[in-house]
Amino acid sequence: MRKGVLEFCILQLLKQEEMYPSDIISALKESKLIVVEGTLYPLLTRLKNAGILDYRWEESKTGPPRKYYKLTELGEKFLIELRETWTELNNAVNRTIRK
Amino acid sequence: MNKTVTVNIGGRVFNIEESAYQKLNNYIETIRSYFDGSEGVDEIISDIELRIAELFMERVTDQKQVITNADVDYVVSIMGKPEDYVDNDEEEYSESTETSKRVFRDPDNRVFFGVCGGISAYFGWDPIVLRALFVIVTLFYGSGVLIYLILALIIPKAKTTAEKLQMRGEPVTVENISKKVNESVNTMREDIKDFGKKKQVRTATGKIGDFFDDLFNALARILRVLFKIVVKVLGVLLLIIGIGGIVTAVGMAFGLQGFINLHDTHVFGDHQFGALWNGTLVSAWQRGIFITGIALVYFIPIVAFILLGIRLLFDHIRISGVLGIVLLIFWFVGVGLLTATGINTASEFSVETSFNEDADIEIPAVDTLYLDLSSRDAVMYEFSNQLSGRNIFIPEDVTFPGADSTDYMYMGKLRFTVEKNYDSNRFELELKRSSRGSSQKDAVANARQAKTHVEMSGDTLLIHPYFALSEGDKLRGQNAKYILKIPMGKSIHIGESTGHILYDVPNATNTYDGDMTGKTWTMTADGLTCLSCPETEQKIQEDTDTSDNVRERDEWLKEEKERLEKAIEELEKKREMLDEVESE
Repeated sequence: MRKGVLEFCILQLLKQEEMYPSDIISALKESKLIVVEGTLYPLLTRLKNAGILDYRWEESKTGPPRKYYKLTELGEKFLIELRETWTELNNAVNRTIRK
Repeated sequence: MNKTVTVNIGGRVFNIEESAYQKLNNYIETIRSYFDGSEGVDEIISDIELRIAELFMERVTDQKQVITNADVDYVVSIMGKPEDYVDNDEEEYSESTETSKRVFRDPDNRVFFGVCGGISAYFGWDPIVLRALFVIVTLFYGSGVLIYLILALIIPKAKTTAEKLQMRGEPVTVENISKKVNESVNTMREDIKDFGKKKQVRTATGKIGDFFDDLFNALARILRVLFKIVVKVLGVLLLIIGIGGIVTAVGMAFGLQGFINLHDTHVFGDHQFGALWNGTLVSAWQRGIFITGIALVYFIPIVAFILLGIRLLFDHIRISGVLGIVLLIFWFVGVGLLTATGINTASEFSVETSFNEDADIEIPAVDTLYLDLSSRDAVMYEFSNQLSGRNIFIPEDVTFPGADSTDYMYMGKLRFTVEKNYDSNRFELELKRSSRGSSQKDAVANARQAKTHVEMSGDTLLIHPYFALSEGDKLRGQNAKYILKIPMGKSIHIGESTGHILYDVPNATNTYDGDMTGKTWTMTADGLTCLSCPETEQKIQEDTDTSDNVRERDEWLKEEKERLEKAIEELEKKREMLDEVESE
């Protein structure tokens, strides 16, 4: 469940702009969605292999080259569907809370 | 002062303390092993290494150029422990850890071949328990040794360090338990997430279909687990049957010793079985072939059960097809040996013969001969053991004249009957012998082996109630019958105790054998007749004999008589008429 939400948030972040893992991590850490970075790498690789994400290399002045991730077309569609699920889920949860 | 090594992480060069390098290397290798076999493992590792390099760059300054243990710890705290990397792809991984535990023979912890040590390591037991168990099972005629050898042959020896680790499996610690729990919780999370995702991706195909898909998957998973349990239970059952079979068989084999060496032991059954066994399969090689056949036919399925049981219990043990074929061939060899013994033994029974000989005894010329048993105190056994229709039994406390009871292995019930002696006016005694054999000659020889005993005591003929066969004689359905030839007018008194040996004694009044004892019978033209018996008894005998046939015959005779009388009357009338004509 939490990982599903994590996935949703990552796609949401990448929709706005290209990011490399450290950016994603710091964004997620702010919202306390992620505790350790290790979780992210397998997730990104899996999404990339599923054709939802794509990346390009970019040289870094301070360190090794970085992978910048972005959404593919399929990823965009998938995100829309995910957002619908999220809204449904959100509404359902809210209804339950109000009762 | 610490030794440093130079490493290349993500294309950057770092100086790292040796102990820190070991730690980092272990960390990365553990992560790699977690993803082993899943798609994109190298990519994940290189991503992680890139990130580690980045983190190290931040930690290195001009003042501090070397990566230390503290830096590695920092990286691990940022990146997380290996198990934090677990993704839903790791379902394969978690399964493989369960099955990666394998049973080996432990070369480091062994008494003989390390079977007990290895199995104990697999289950996390103290090997002493299993060893004690084997010693106890060995007390059952040493069957534990056989089971141990079979296991030693099947279970491979742990040769490499990896195999030794696999053999031990993971120690059951709090840490490992919590790890296992975390893994399963993660898998569950992934399942729940996938459940939602699939629904969204495939809205077009209909939610009901998806629901059934997921339900089906869940059911399939449950079925798989159930199947695994059933297979294991079956494996345990097969092992129990197999081991039980070996214990029983080894026990029986020692029992066989008991009936091969007849007097040694009573472990298996009683004397009777042993005597039948020794008397039927006379030569040692015949018995040897028969036992070999039995052993092969019996043991091979047992061994197959054990092999199959082990195969089902421990997934990694493969039983080679060649072994199966070899076992099958040996089984057929066993069947062949049994068939050969069967045919061979049957041929020993193929010819049946019987002949009469004069009994070597002089009977005095008396008017009334008394018949009695020579061994009055002999126990009369119920003849329950039937061999090819003959009564053969093995006495335990019956003595035979001129021999110890142990010299004679088999005794049969002797028979006695009488005949009319047409040729002579003396009592004469004949012995009718019969037996089976492989040929006429063999059958005659076998028949002659039966020993009988008769003696005269005054005017009493004493007959031993059994015939006997010595140890080592063939048991071929021998039989012996004394036939007393009684001349006309002479009598025989049949003693009260002789009922057991009387066999279809012919007599004029169709009296049953059992009713003939205690009376004196005289040979008349009609056969033996009881002259001393009360008339009433005879009368009753006649009455009971009046059957429908007799009545019918009487009626027929009466009708016939009337018919003849009428015919005679008519003939007389005709003669009278003829006489009249003549006189005219």
